[in-house]
Formats: sequence, structure tokens, C-alpha cells
Amino acid sequence: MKRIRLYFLPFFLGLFVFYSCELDNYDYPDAALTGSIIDSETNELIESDIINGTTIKLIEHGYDPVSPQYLRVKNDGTYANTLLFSNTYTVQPDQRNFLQIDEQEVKIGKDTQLDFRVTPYIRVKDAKIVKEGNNIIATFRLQQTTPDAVAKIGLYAHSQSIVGEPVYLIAAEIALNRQVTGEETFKVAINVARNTALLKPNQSYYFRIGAVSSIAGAKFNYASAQLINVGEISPEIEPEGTSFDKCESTEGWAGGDGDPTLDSDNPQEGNHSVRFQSGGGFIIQKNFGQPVNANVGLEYGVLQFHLYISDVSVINWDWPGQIEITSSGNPDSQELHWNFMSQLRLRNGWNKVVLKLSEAEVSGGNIDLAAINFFRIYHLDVQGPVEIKIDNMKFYEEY
Amino acid sequence: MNFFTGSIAFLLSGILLSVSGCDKKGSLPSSSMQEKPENAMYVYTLKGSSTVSSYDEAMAVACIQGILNRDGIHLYVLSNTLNKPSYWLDKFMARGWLAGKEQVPVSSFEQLLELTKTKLKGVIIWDTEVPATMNVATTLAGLEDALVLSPDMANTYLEKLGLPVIKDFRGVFTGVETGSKKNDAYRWAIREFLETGRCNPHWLYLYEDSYMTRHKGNVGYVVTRDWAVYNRGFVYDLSPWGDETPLDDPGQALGTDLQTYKLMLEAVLKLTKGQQMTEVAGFFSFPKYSNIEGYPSKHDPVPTEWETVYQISPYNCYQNTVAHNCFNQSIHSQAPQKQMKQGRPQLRAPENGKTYISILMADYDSATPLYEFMPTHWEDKARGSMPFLWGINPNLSESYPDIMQYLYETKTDNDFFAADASAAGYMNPNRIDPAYLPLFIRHNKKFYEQWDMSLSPMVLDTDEPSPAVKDAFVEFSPDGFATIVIDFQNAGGKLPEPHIWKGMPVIELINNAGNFYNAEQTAREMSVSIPASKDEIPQYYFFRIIWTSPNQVISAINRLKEIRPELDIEVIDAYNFFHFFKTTHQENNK
Repeated sequence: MKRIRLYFLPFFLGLFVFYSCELDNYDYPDAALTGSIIDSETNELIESDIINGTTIKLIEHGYDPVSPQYLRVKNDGTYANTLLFSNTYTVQPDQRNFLQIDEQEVKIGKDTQLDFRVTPYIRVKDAKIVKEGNNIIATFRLQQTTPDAVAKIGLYAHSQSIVGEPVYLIAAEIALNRQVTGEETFKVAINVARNTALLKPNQSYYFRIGAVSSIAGAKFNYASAQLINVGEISPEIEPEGTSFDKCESTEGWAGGDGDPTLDSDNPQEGNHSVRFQSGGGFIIQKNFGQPVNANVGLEYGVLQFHLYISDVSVINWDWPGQIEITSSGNPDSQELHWNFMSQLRLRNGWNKVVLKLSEAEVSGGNIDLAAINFFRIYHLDVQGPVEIKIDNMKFYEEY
Repeated sequence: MNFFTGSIAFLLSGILLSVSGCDKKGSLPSSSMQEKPENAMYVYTLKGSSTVSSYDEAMAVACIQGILNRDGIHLYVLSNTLNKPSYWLDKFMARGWLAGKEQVPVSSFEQLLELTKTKLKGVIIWDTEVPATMNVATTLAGLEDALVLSPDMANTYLEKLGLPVIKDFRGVFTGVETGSKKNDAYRWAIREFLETGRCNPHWLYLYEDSYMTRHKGNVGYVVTRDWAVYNRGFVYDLSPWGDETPLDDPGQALGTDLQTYKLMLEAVLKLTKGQQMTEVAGFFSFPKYSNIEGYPSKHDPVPTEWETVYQISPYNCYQNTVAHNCFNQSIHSQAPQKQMKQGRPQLRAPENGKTYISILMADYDSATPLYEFMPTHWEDKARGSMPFLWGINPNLSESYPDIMQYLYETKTDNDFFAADASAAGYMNPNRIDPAYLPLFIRHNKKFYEQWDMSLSPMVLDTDEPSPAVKDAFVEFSPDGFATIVIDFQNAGGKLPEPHIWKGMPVIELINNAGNFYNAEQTAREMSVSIPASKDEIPQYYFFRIIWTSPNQVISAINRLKEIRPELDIEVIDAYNFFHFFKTTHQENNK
């Protein structure tokens, strides 16, 4: 049986190959389809990604069944396919970053042009990308054309102009998952100094802002990529930031056993720190008569202060003490807070506490970062006397 | 076939396939208009693409369908993207009440208009800038036998149709009355259609409007509108919350949606006059009125569902919650209504030392689960090997009697049926005005008797049932009453102690194993509800498991037996379960 198979198989394979040769004798493709994806309101090209971006589905008439062909749209929103056969096709965008439109029948010949005038899910407006210090900072607004939430925004960098969400050396992304208003300004930044393995000093890279809708299957919408030379990279220095409290006065401070005092022994900034003494658990707070504008956003804002603890061994770190800031004048309302247990590792003496606002938990509604008027630090499971000092509280942005 | 001939056949067939695949001369068949014979029905397939025009087309088709089918079985709608319309059509053509019905395919929307326009009395154009007008237009379409068109479609078809414009809603609602265009539209509709008694007060349709859906071509609550038009019901889409403005109308004064909601409910109650109850078909919009990812709100979806039911119950209204993608209700509803029998198991006696478990295959209380989800679970090969109680609200027989009959006709001896959420319709029984309890009894009795039901295994309320409510249930549900109580109102609501009320067992339906992820997790969640006991008295645990196939539940039970080897577990049918409980309870409370 095996032998028979060996005799006959080449014969049939030969037939098959011979027949296949006949298939290849069809005319060479003689038609081309080119065009653009155009924003019907602004008349601008709707940019996309060459990889995992907009595609156009073509179904050639005269075949049943027929496998659809898919054309990729280039990053700039144009497309071209010069290897088609002259025929009538059903054409419709497939993967996309704009509202779907009806399919259309198109007779495609030698030089057929077909533009799609559509509505992008999101328009990236007023896009600016600048280098500030060691940071590449993108600012922009978003215009939603549908009520669907914006899932994510990002800044993408690559040495090639096809930069985008699927093609980047480094990306900074922020999950939004909410509706946005046209008035909001967004900021996304890449710190070059922390990414020198990928971004070399004095080299130019393409940077591109993107945003994606939560609509199922939505692709990213973009602003145009910008070529920026990242220049020299200087050593990282602590930003001056916005002072929250320099701790040169006890006004507004309360907590511990007895009144707080000013302490001039080894202050971390200026001449004093604020000192508290507690026989055990403590609640230390400050009410600000004048609210403080932190001048930072939630995404990149940092609260930093110096905290002196005489003996950390008396503190039960498993107990959920907190550090809180609010804009309500009281705890638990319009509050951001951080937990001792998960977010602080302190030692005896002075500690620099650096708390990212993006890692804080929200209580009682959103805080107004332009009007912070309350600070509190508490821990109630402390098995012995402890001296606490606070100094040099400030906000700054860190990318 | 031996290997040699098999090889030849394979290669020849490959060559033939290659040849046929290269035939460039093949073409799609041309279509022509076809009048249908009297006993035939048109079959139209929705495009189903993600476009605005698909959405608008589905809206117009729903109107045509609702109007045509009032006179019989004339138009069945299929979908290019959803398979259940063809699934059920095949089922009832093959062996059901549609057997022998001739189908006449309609190949284009233009053709459909041409074939049916003589049945239409006019056109209503809705205002796409005020999505609520789509619902108002749907209501009016039912009352006037009219076609609802978007402005785009009106531009294309109005002249060709030659039909009068009955109402053009563009620019009509400006917010002058309430400060909200949305609420102005609904309040006008309440005055014009409900307070005048024009709408059928047995139906309210909570159908999501175009705000979140039209741009995506999401027709889930468009294809259902044949049912609203058919019944001349009132269609709306409002938030049940008064403490938060809705996503689709953030500029409205706080509570405006809820005020309009109550005006609508009051108008319906005046029309029903305590003579009939009202079904609210459809669900609130999750992103518009509740807290889901991307759309923050004070209120999560489940409390929003409960708030809706809490608000509507005093008006003798009940929910048929999840109702999207329910096609062809105007046809299915015309299947002959029958008196069905499910039979009863032989009642036995409980044994000491046993842990008795019974399972409610839950949440077929609304149309989508029955129409879309049930087939998967019902066709599971393991069905019949363990006794299950399938929770299906019997009022769904008003829209899908044939589907319910199909389930009864294909049940095994281990499948039993009972109402699901609350009774014949999901409401909070404690919220019904005592004066209307006789109506409540009459309403439920009708459906329970038609579907041979005598158990109410999942009564949902914010407190234990009042004596009057239990008296009411005794009238139509004497074999058992189980409840889930969630005190969303923070009014001190609590579960009832298990007891017997005038012969009717009253127990808790255990809810912690409701969502099935895998057998292990469900088994462990069940186990948590079963304390260690060395008591010889039989123990009883009645679990709710939502939209899950029999083989998965059986796996969970088997796993439970493994992780609790000290228990003598037996899964029994719900009738014996309630009977055993009653027997045990009476013996121990002599």
C-alpha cells in the first residue's frame, strides 16, 4: 500500500502544480486605490498607527465566497494600494479610530481615489510638546465626539516617525476612564534623565500624543508627531516646588500632649521645625487659615515633608495610621490619604517623606488641589513615648 | 474507502475546489420585489453594522413590524450579527406553531418600505439633538401607526414614501418648561399620551434612548420597539435617582428626572385604576444612571436596579428588567396561549442527619435571559441528572409564550419551574398598597395557574414580608416562599426567621453563591453558608445560582461534597425541599 502511494502521489502533485501554474497566468494587478481619512468637521487628516491602526476592508465583487482584503492606513491618515484588479468592490473602514460609516460600492480602476470623511472618536487639540529641564512635557486638550469615556492618554517616543502606542521606545500613559471636557488641559511627561538607556543625550526623537476612547475596539487618536532633540541631560535636583508649610510657626498646628513648640535643633529647612511630644498614639494636624494652591496635578504631584520620629520601634506598623490632606477644612471630606502600613518606611531621626498624589486614596469626594487647607498625621497604636517633628512641607511635580 | 482511493479523492476534490475558487464569472443572485401570499410572512435581516444608519434603519423597521403584526404574523426580523432570531425561528418552524409558515425574504429596506407603506399612516421625525424624542416618537408611532425616522432618513425617504409628517420633533423641546429638554419632552408626552388615556397602561417601556448608543449602531433597545409599538405603550428613559443628575443631562435641576418619573407613574396608576398591574419592560442605562467603569456615580448598578423597583412598586408596576436584543416579541406573543403542566414529584419524608440542598437556576425573570441566555443552559447535556428549579417569571409569557411552552415540553423529570424575581413580575411586595393586594393576588394567580406554579423562590424586598404580603402569597404560592432581603433604604429591614405561615414555608434564598466563576469557588461559597453541625435534625440550604449550566452546578455540588465530607449532602427538588423543611419545622415546634 505504501508503494502504491509513492507511485501515484507525484503524479497527482504534478497535476496540482501544473494547474497552479495556470492560476498564475492571470493579468498583473492593474488598479490602484488611494485616499485619506479626513475629519469631516476640521478637514484635517485623522492620524493612526501603521501597526494595529486603521484598516479598510475591500470585498471584490464576482466571487462567492470571497475573502475580504484589508488595507492598512498610514500614520498620517492616508492609504494606498496599487496591487488591485480592476473591478467593483464593497469598501468600508474596519479597524478604526472614528465613527463607522456605511459600506459603499466602488468601481476601482487605474487611479481611483476614495477619501473617507468621518468623525474621529477624539480630537487632540492644542497639542504642545516642549523640553523643560530633563523632561519632555506634552500639554493638550481633548474633544470627545461621543459620550463614551476616554480610556487612556499617552505620550510616546521613538526614533522613527511611525511612533505611537504600538511603536515606542518609551511611553508615559495615564488611565483616565472618564468623560472629559473640552476645557481641561492634560499634561503627560517623560523624564529623559531616568530613561537614558533608551533616550540618548543630544539625540532627536519623535514624540506623539495619543488618546483612546473606551468604545469597544477603538484605536488611538493622535496629534502629529514632533521631532525634538532631548539635548543635554543635567543631574537631577529636587524641585523647589510650592511651599505647603515651612514650619517656622506653630499657628494652626495641634496635637500630641500639650501644645506644639518650635524646635531649632537641626531643622531641615529654615530655622525651626514644629515639635510634638506624645506618650503613645498621636493625632497631629494643621488647619490652614489661608488655603494653599499646590500648583500640581494629581498625575504628577508630590507631597514632600520631613518627619522626625524619636523611636519607630514603639509604633505598630500594621495598624492603619494615615497621612491626610483635604480641601474641606476637616478630615474625611475632599481628602487624599496615604496609609502608614503600606506606604511609609521610617527610621529613627529625620526622614524625608515623599508621597505621590497619584498613589493616594480618595475619601469623601475629590480634593481641590488649588485650595488645600487641612493636614493630618495620626497613629493610635504606639506603645511608648515618642517625639515627633515636622519640617519643610511642599508640593512639586515629578515626572 | 481505502487509503489509495482516499488519496485520489482528496487530491481531485482539492483540484475541483481550486478551479471553482478561481471562477471569476460567479455573481450574487439579483433580488426582486415579491408580494407575499396571505399565509406567509416577510423576513427582513437587519444590517447590524456599527453605524448610525443601521441604528436608524432598525428604528424604522421596528415601527413597521409593530404596526404590521397587530393584524397577524406578517414580519419577522433577523440579524446579521445576532443568532437568536434565526435560532428561535428555526425551532418554531421545525416543530412549533410556525411550522408550515411560508417565508418571503425582503432584500432591502427600500423594498420593505414599498411592500408595507400602505399600512403606515404617516411619519414622525425625531430630534437627534434631544435623544428623549426618539422614545416620545416611538410612543406616538404606536398610537398613530406611524414610521419613526431620523432627520437623515427623512431626507432620503420622505418624498419617496409620500406619507404625511404627523409630527416633526426637531427643535420642539427647548427646556422652557423644566430647564431640561429631555424632561420637557417626557412631560409633554405624559400629558398628551398618558393623561389623555391614549396609551395602554399595562405597558411601560424603559428603553435606552440614542444618547449612548446610536453613534455605535447599538440597537439592543431598538429592535425591541416593535413590542412597544404593537402594544401602544409609553416609552421612556429616566433616572430613578433624585440625588444625582444623570450623565445624559447634567445641566438639569437636581431631581428633575425623578419628578418626571413619578409624574409618569402617577398617570399610569390613574389609568389602571387598581384594575390591572403594569409591566415596566427594559432596564435603566448603566452608564447614564449608575457607577460603572468610566462613568462614576454615587450609585452602583445593583442599588440602582433596586431603587427602580422600590420606586415603581407602589404604582402596581413590576419590572421585566433585562430586555435588550429581544427580537420579534410582536410575533412570539401571538403564539397560542396554553395551560401548561409541569407535574410534581412524589413527596417523601426527610431523614435525620441529612443536609438537604436545593438549587434555584436563577434570574430568568426578564426577557433577555429567557430569549438569549436560556438556550445555552437548557441544551446542556447534563440537564436532567440532578433536580433543579428553573426560575422564570411567568409574566414573560405575554411576550414569549412559545419559548416558555418549549421549555415545558422539553423538560425532564428533574426540571421544575417557579417564578423568579418576586412573582409574576419583579416588584417589592411590601411596597404594594394594601388596598391593591387583591389585584396583586389576582394578577399572580392568573400567571401561576397558567404555568402550573406554586412556589415563589426569590421574593426580593427591603424587609421581611409583612403578614398581609404573606397572606397574599399563600393564595397563589402555597408550596413555598423564599426571599432575599437587602435593606438599601437603611430602614432596619431584616430577613425573616424561617417559619411556616398558614401552611406556606417561609425561608431565606441564600445569595452568596449566585455568581458562578468555577466549581471550586461556588463550592466554597456554598460551604461558607453551611455551618458545622452535629445535629441530627435535617438541615436545609436553598441556593441561588445565576445563568449557569447544569454540568457546572453539578461540578460545584460534587466539589462541595469533597470539601465537606462530614456532611451527608443530598440535592433534592424544590417541592420536596420545602415539604421537608415544613415537616421538620413542624416536628420541632410541636
